[in-house]
Amino acid sequence: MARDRTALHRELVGLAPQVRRYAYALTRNPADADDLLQATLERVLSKPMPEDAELAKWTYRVCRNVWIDEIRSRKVRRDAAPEIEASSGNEASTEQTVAARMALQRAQAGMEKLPEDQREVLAMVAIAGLAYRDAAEALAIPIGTVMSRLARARAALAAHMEAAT
Amino acid sequence: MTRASWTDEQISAFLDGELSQADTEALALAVERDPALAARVERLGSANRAYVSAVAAIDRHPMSDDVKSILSTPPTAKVIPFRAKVGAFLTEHRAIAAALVCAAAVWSVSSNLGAQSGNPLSTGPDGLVVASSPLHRALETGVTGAPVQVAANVSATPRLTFASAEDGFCRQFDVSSPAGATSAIACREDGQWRTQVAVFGKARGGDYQTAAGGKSPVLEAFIDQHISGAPLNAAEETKVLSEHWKRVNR
Repeated sequence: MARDRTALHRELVGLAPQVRRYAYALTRNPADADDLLQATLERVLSKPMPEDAELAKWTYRVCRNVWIDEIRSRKVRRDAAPEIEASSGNEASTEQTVAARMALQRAQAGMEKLPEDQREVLAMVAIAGLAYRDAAEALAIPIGTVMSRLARARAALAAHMEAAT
Repeated sequence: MTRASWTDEQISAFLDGELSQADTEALALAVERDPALAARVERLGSANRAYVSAVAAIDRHPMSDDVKSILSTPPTAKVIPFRAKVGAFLTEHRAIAAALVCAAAVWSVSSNLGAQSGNPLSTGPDGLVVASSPLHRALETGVTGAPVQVAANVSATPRLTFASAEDGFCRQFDVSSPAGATSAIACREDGQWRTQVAVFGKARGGDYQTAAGGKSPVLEAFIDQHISGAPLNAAEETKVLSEHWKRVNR
């Protein structure tokens, strides 16, 4: 009954929301994020996984590779698409929701301005939750570089948020 | 431990829990004593929180149909073309099968069948239906169309029996209770029944609440992929039940 693949599928269903966030952190576009997630899931389900690999780490690695090799070139659609709204739009425009929406838009704009290398490592650590050692291995860079990129990314986001207020 | 200054790299690593124990304690102490340092930590931490919130906004965006389809359909090594007879059967039974729809919920619902202590539907890892449970008995010996009481106010009704492409048997069944209705498929392997997919609908006013159109694409997709030949008719099912699910060429 193909139990192993069924179990793998079930684990992927559990991982999918977080992988989707990671995909969105890389693509900054909902449609591209779902394209990337779809390709990642198909790849993980169809390709053999190293026996000693952890599924989550493996999945994030596949996701990053698919992003670099296949999805990243779709910049036109990505750049043309609207940002995700901070709320559904149906709720009352209270001061609080307006403020939350503005903060979200500022953060999204800050994400957009990050250099690719910083965005990548920030997504891997802050969204995928990888340890520095694992991020360094996945990106084939020293841990010191992971640390410096993370610090610069956060400092740049902070500066962007401050400048926008 | 004293430091002339802490770098943004160290503060960032502190936020990620990646500093050594000694440095973590030293920085925490320094933050208590130095408001300027505390402000730097808060500045980077706040930026990180804003970033995580911005990324999490994708959660409110509808998932694409293609992704939903992948998440709702467990893979199989062998794909069997859809058969008209199955389609007709399911169409006939859609009205009574509570159907849902949210792909990502399928597995969680399946596992939730056994999440409550004392639940007569108790399932173990990978949807295993516990052999001593009433549901196991219903699947093992129940006749299609005949409700089997599995707990007070809870009944299970086999709806479809078919031979699987993996040389076993599978059954689609409904479980109804005042709290709602579940339609699921379990397959038998090595004498054990294992729930493969489940869809769920809450009851409203005592009636099953079905999704729009009563469709259950999750179950259909599973059957399409796993069925071997046509579903068993009554005579074939009787024979299989009497032979305790011995697989023979039909």
